[in-house]
Amino acid sequence: MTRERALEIVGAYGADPARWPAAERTALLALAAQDADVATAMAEARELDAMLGDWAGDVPLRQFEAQALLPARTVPVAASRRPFLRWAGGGAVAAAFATVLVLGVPGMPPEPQPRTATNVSPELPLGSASDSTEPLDGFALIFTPTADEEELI
Amino acid sequence: MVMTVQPVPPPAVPDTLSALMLRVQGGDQAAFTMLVRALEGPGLRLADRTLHDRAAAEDVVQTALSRLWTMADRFDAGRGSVSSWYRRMIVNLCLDRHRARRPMVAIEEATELPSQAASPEAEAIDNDQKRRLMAAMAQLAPRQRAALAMFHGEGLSVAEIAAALEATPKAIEGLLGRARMEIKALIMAQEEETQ
Repeated sequence: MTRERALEIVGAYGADPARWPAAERTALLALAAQDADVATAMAEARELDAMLGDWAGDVPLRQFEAQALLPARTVPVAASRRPFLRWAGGGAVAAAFATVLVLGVPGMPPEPQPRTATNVSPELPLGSASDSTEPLDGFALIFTPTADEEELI
Repeated sequence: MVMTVQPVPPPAVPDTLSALMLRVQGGDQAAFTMLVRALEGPGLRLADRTLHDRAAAEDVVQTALSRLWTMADRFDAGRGSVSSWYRRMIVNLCLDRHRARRPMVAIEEATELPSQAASPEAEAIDNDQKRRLMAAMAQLAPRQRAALAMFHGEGLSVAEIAAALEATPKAIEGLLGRARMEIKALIMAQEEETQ
């Protein structure tokens, strides 16, 4: 054990022999008993050790909420089922509507004539004109929800 | 014919944290809570001392604790302990955050440190010493602070610190030596300034 190595160890590990490398501990202790420089370095290191121990340990702690650290995918299944059903119901209505739009409604003219105020005779009651009743019925057929759909909505 | 029965060595018992981690890998939330309770303190001490920024340290610990759950399948007990895996996560998150933000440490804050000293005179000396140490610490690199916190706070060996900082034990010995030398020099410089 050289003086340089002894000072290096004390400088890095501090004054506590228990923290020194085990293989060099005995030799360093023997040298410290004889060498004034090493003994002085140990005394200085002891003071710094105490300060650093306080610094490292003096941290206010807090508890973290473990449940809040869990990602959303761990939400219990029972809690997540109800919103899923609601969306599934809405999706079913939307899918039915889309199917009707693509396939068309039986009895609906392929290209209904635009309905204007001039097509309706002022003498006839509103809605009795033949060119207006069919599209209105088709509209009602598409947009009137069934009792089951009502529940879902 | 004499049959000799060879004693069967007992199976390796994993340490408590590793046992908890295995349960976490299976989705056990109660085990996760116990793991959080065991690791939040050491993590917060290390992050706080490495970053010198309380809010950032809490963010880092929160992220690291979350990863114990979300990355549980990556933990391999054969490659090291839960503590060392978690410590490496904390250190890496701290260094990433430091690189991204380069937070300025308010040295003035050190003057407001609470003290548990008995007499007003002792309290003043204690506060003065802490203020100087905190100001000196602010001048060190985060890796140096992390090494000092692990060595003096957690009592880790140089080999354990080397694993956390992904360096060799010899490099950590040098890092600790330089950090302690710089701290001493900075504190002495402050004392000379005040005289």
